[in-house]
Amino acid sequence: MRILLVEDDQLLGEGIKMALDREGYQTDWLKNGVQAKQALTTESFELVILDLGLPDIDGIDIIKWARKTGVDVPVLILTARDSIEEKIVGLDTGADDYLIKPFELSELKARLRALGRRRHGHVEPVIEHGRITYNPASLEVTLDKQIVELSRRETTLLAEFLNNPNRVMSKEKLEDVVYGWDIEVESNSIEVHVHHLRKKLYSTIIKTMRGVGYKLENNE
Amino acid sequence: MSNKTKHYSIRRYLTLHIVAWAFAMTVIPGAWVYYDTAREVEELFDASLAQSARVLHGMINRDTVEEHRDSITEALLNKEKDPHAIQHSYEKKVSFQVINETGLILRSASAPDHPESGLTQGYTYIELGQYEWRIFTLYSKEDDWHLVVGERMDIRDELIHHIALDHAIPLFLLTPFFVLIVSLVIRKGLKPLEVIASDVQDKNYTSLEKLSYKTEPEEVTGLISAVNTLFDHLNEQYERERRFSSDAAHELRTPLAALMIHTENILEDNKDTALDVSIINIKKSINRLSHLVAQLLSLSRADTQLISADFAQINLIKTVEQVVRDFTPLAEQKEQSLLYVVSHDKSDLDGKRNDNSKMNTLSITGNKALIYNMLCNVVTNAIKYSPEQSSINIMVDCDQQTITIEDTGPGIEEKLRERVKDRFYRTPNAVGEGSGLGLAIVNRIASIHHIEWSLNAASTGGLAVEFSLKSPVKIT
Repeated sequence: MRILLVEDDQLLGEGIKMALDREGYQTDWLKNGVQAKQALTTESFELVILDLGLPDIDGIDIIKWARKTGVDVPVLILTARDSIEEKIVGLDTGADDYLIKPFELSELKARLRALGRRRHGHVEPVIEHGRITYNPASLEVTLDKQIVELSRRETTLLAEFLNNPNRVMSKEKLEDVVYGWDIEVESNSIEVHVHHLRKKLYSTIIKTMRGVGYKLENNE
Repeated sequence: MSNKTKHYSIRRYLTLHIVAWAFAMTVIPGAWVYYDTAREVEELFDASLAQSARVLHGMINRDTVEEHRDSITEALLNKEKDPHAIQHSYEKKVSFQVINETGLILRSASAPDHPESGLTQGYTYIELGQYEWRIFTLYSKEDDWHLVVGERMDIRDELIHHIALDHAIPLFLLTPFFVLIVSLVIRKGLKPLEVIASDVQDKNYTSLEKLSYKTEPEEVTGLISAVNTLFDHLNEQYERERRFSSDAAHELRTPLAALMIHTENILEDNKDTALDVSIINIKKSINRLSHLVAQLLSLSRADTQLISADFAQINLIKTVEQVVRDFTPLAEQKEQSLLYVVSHDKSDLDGKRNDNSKMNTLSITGNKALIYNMLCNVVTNAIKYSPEQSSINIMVDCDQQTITIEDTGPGIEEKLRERVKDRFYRTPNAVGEGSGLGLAIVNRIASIHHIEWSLNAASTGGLAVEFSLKSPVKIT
């Protein structure tokens, strides 16, 4: 799952990115509001973690702007301001959740999972697809109730397919999701990951749509 | 000690002084008018006495008297008794005697029947029987007799008194009206001052908006503008403090959050279990620090947020219920139970009267978030200090207007019960990650809302914290 983290504090940003990356999220970290706006217009994210006290633009204004321009990505506000009024303002402006610094990592992760579920219309915390189940909290994938060992990037890729069961996804989009802006991606890396998924699960799980991209097989 | 401010009322001062002076200004001219009139009237009476003597002198002579003495005497005596004579209220009884060296020749009925002796011409006073008389004596050379005309002084004095008083009294008649008008005018004149005073008195931290009136007297314009400037400064100060606490929150909390997340990252990646204890202790310290920051902020917010805080009617039962709901999970971690009891007016319970409006009401005017925070601090303490598997009583008494929270902890020694309300004070046997601010926050919030609260020994053996809401804040 690709997350945009907007946090101006170097130490905290690094810490969150490290923690989320370990959780299998693809975290892109920006330190100011202008860049965040730009990224939200050009890229697509599953979730945004937004610090309200940015140096250039107030976080609230970014949410206002995003909602006005039709960016509907779930936003989790991260802030040091803890008064009730400020919470209300944040949520009423269009934020989806609120977390006050300092926070426990486990709480941040739980809230992100909840937002992810809502985003994809799941109610159950564990996603099921035919013989496969995926638990976003533990990052466990099972096939016929047997745990399957997947790499971090493979898990992220599978989660992306499970979250968008009826969509055809381009290779570029999947590269964004799995790698973000971090690394120069090898041109065939997604093909390699898809190949591994088919081998570790079963071969028909992901269909190749020639010239367009990939799609999760139908459940039926 | 001795320079205590003396209070006095401008209105009373003005009314008393103006009335006193007005009274003096009426009495002095009144007295003057009285005495002057009396003197003038007396002169007038003397003149009329002399006039009477001269008329008498013109009317009778020795010959006529010799001729008609009997008929004259009889006429004089009878006429005086005539009851049908037209009288004037100021008419005096003028008496006369005509005397020569041989004795009394003629007299009016009201005159004494023995002659006056040792008479000189002109005015004199004499004592006759029980009365004093004013006498005018005229000597007639032709007839060689004295004409003595006299008036009784008591009658004359009474008339003089009447006439003089009639002149002086109108001056006094208006005095009550004057007093009334003066006090009304003063009351009305000082009204703006009273209005301003009560307006300023009604201001509290929650409503420091400027004073403004459609009309304001010149005398207090300076005061109003000074008060408004003061309010401006205070508002500015509050705003600055508020911004400071908000800024401080950010500045402290972000590094704390970074510290926390890096510690958790280490904990997750750590393979050396020997280090885990240290890392967990670091996490505990961070938690403690975070708690301290949160408490400091909540205290400074209680101090400064009031300017923007909206005081509203709060249903305390609901607030207490919310606290109970929110803290039940925390209590359950220690297998404690929160027992929540609401007791109503006794008459409602005993009698058949089913007055629903009186049931379940314990309300106060205040800031909901602050009141919630206040109760949270007490309940958190109760949970923290009570042993596992114990129960904490939260009792709301609608009749006595009290909220009591009883725990089964160690309690607080009697001599320390006031000290624990101080900031950063922790009792020697305090446990856990306290900041020493919890009860200071409770104290501050209680005092803002004029809630009296006390720490006592609970019947359950622990501490009983009792809030009494009998003198709640007035709505402004």
